[in-house]
Amino acid sequence: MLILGIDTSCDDTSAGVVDSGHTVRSNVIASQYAAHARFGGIVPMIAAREHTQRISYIIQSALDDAQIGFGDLDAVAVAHHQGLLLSLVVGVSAAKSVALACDIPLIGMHHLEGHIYSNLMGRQHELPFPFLCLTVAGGHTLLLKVTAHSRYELLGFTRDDAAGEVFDKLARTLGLGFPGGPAVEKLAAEGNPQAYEFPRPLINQPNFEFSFSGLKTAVIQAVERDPQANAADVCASFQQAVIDLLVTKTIRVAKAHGLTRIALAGGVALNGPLRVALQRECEALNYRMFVPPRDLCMDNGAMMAGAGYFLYRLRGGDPLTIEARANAPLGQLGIRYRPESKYN
Amino acid sequence: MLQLLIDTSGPYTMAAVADEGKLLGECTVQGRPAARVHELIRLLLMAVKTPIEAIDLIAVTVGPGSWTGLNIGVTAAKVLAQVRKCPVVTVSALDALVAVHHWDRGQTWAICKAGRGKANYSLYARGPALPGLESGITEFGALRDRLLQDVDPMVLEYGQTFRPDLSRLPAVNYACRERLPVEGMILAARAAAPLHLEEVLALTPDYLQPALAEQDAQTV
Ligand SMILES: Nc1ncnc2c1ncn2[C@@H]1O[C@H](COP(=O)(O)OP(=O)(O)OP(=O)(O)O)[C@@H](O)[C@H]1O
Ligand SMILES: [Fe+2]
Repeated sequence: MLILGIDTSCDDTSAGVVDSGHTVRSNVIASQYAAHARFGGIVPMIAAREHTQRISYIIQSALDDAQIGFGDLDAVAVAHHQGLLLSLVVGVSAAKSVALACDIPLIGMHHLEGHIYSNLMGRQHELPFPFLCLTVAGGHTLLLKVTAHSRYELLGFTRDDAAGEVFDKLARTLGLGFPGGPAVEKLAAEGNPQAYEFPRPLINQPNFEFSFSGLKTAVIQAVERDPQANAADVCASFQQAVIDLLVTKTIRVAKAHGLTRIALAGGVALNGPLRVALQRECEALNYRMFVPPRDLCMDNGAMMAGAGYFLYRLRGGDPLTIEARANAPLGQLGIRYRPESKYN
Repeated sequence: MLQLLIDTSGPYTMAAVADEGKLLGECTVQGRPAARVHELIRLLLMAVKTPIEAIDLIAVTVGPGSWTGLNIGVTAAKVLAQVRKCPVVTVSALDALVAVHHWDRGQTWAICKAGRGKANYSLYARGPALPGLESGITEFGALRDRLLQDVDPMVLEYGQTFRPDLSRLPAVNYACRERLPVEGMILAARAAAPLHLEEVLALTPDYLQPALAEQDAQTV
């Protein structure tokens, strides 16, 4: 079953083709960094226009790379929940046009399900349910117990900022450009992770909640107070604090819930030292850790196509009337991980 | 020559099918283009008993109008055209408005709010109006001064009204429309040259100039 997956939830325009949830036939991602760089962040109206401009090319490249045509598609999957509304609507409109013109099923999905399912693609039998998924990206830091297809239990979440957001903020403060994660990681490799003793909020509290705002403030203050500060040392010490927080809480949740398989998902999963640190802890406890291939960690269309296959088998397709939503509950159980007011 | 027409530029979402300029069917609903435009197209094609494969040309409004609506409509049209490998014609909402309005006492000004005190406008000679003489985006104050100096002009507004600022204009010289007339869209589409597939793939709503978004660029 060949599925075209589309994701335009934020600033990347992406499309990919995946065969039956497992075999990635193509995965094309066009970033908009250049269009937003001089603003130091993403401008939603510009993002929408850029998506509109590129979407047809990206879809065409995804089909060309997979060596197929529109007529070979069996379904089209798209992220319609979670992200920037102005951006989401473009991908949704494109996906609906493909569904309508090809007369194939449309599958609307939560962007985070794409991130989570990037762990199941290609290795469904290796990673049986239940497992713990640390989903950590630009807009989320969640600990989810994945009990079955599209069934999640919320075990932990952040009270304030998402981890990726803090990487981006630090990069902006240091003038490292956007997105921040890769730049901070690169500079951190040359620094001393013990140079600064940044706070690790809530790390000793016996709960499963994250908080990054105290860490963010401390790091930004350190840079602003001492313009001569060694940026590599700041990045290394900051990154170490994030890793300590993420690994400590993840392992604590895993132990408390008896989960011995831990999956990592989302953009921050690209962080090498984080992968290494979590892997080390898992090995010590005889747990198994799973990380998606790099191309499937960042926002991409293939992960939507992969997740779309499993969700389509679970609940069928959607009508052409589905609507984009900036915030939406997750999965079949409607998990809510944001303040209630966000869902209105 | 069967034509599918799509408009999501304003408060109404419209899909229509025409054959050689003759209207075969139209569906219009108020608002929410994101949810409705594709479903409207599907229902309409069923109603006029035309499979999507039979469509030879797609016409779509490229503005001026709602930023969100235009992105949705243009994307819908270009991807449909991409799959069906059919050409696209782009239509100015202001042309569509003027195409069905006969005014032979002077020039016609079609205008539409662009936010932050600016307006999109197109100026047309005394009938037959299309194609226009000039169009652009400008400070509303400057535009108002120009059109109030004109001799017996017709001012046609699309969407929200600037009427209080135009109160010196006699009522007969002014009209505001919330809906694009489908006949106007058909006429405007016939006056435009079809885009080739390469141009269709690159299509972006004309009126969405990055400079507009940059003026109040708020990052997230
Ligand atoms: N090597 C890295 N180290 C740390 N963080 C990284 C790295 N690479 C990317 N990131 C971070 O990952 C985030 C982007 O991930 P992703 O694109 O999945 O987020 P998003 O889609 O914007 O948000 P979400 O998925 O939560 O809705 C950015 O905040 C970026 O800084
Ligand atoms: Fe993401």
